[in-house]
Amino acid sequence: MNSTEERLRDALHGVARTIDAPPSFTAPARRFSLTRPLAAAIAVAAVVSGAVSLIDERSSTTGQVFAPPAEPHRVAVYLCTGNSANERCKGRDSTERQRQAIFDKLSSLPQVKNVTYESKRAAYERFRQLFSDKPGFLAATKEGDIPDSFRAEVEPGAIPEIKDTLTDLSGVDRIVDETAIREAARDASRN
Amino acid sequence: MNADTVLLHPPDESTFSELYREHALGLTRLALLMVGDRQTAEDVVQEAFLGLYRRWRSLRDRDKALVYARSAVLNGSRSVLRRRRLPLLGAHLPPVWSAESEVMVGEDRRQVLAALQRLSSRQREALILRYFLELSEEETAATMRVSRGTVKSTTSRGVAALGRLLEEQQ
Repeated sequence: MNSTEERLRDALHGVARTIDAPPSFTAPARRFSLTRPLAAAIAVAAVVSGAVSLIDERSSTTGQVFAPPAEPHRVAVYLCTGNSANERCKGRDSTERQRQAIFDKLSSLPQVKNVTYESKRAAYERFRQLFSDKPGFLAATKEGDIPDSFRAEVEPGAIPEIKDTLTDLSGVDRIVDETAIREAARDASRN
Repeated sequence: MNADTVLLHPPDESTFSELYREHALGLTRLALLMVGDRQTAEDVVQEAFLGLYRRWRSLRDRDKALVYARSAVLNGSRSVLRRRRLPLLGAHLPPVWSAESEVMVGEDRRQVLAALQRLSSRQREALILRYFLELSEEETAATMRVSRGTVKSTTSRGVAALGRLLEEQQ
C-alpha cells in the first residue's frame, strides 16, 4: 500500500462520514415528490424490519424495551399483500383459506403460544400513531400497505424450526423474530 | 450487520426493505463522493431505490439487486454531473470538499478530493468504488459495466495520476 492509496482511502471515508444517516424519505422531497409505492415500501420496511415495532407499544413511548433473555420471543408472521416484495406472494393478498392454514399450522406447534391476528386496519392504525410526526410518510401510505400478520410468543430455540415449517406455506411473506431484532438494534445503538 | 441479523434473514428471504436498511447509507455516501452535496446525493439515491423498487420482481437475487442499486447511483450521479456542465443548470451547492463548504473535512482530505476531481470520470468512479466501497475488481467491473481488465488498468492509472497531482500540490 502506498501513501497515495492511504490518503485516498482516508479522504473518501472522511468525506463520506459527513453523512451519518440514510435519507429518511419522510419529508416531502424538494425537487420531486415521493411516489406512493416507494413511500409505502419504505414504510413497510421500517415496520417489518423491526426499526419500528408495531407489536409493543412501550417501544414507541419510551424508546426502550427491556426483554430479559428468559422471556419468550415475539414472532411476527407477515402475510402477503399486493405490494409484498416476496415473489411467492405474486403481488396478491393472502386468502382466507391460506390464513386459516397458516393459523392452524402455527397454533399446532408445541413451542408456540398465544397466537393472535393483527389485521391490516389495526396495523395501519398503529403505524399512524407511530409516525404521527412524519406527515410525509402518512400522506404516502394507505390502509392496506402495512401487512397483516399472525403474532405469537415462541421459545427462542424454536425459531429456525418455525421458519422452516411456515416459510413455504402460501400466503406467508416473511417471518420476523421481533425480539431478536429489537435486542440487536439496542445493542447496535449502545455501541 | 451482526451475526443475529444474518441468521434471521437468510438470502432467500431477501427483500427490498433489507436492502434499503443495509445499503441506503452507504449508497448515499457513494453519491455524495460523486456529486459533492448531500441534497443532490439524497435525490440520486431516492431515484435509484425507486428504480430498484420498480424492477424488484424481475431481479432474481439480492446480489443482482445490489449491483443494480450501485449502478443506478453511479448513473444518476453521472447525469447530475452532465447537467451541471450546461449553462443555466449549473447552479448547485459547493461540494463538501471545497473551501466554500461549511462541512468540516480537513485540509488533507480537501486536497485529495480536489485532485480526484481532476481525473477522468472513469478513473474517479473506479477509485471511489475500489477505495471507498472496497469493491473487488470484479464487483467494480459489474457496477461500471466494463471489463475487469479495464477496472484494473483504470484503477492503477488513476492512483498514479492522483499521486502526481498530490505531489504537485506539495
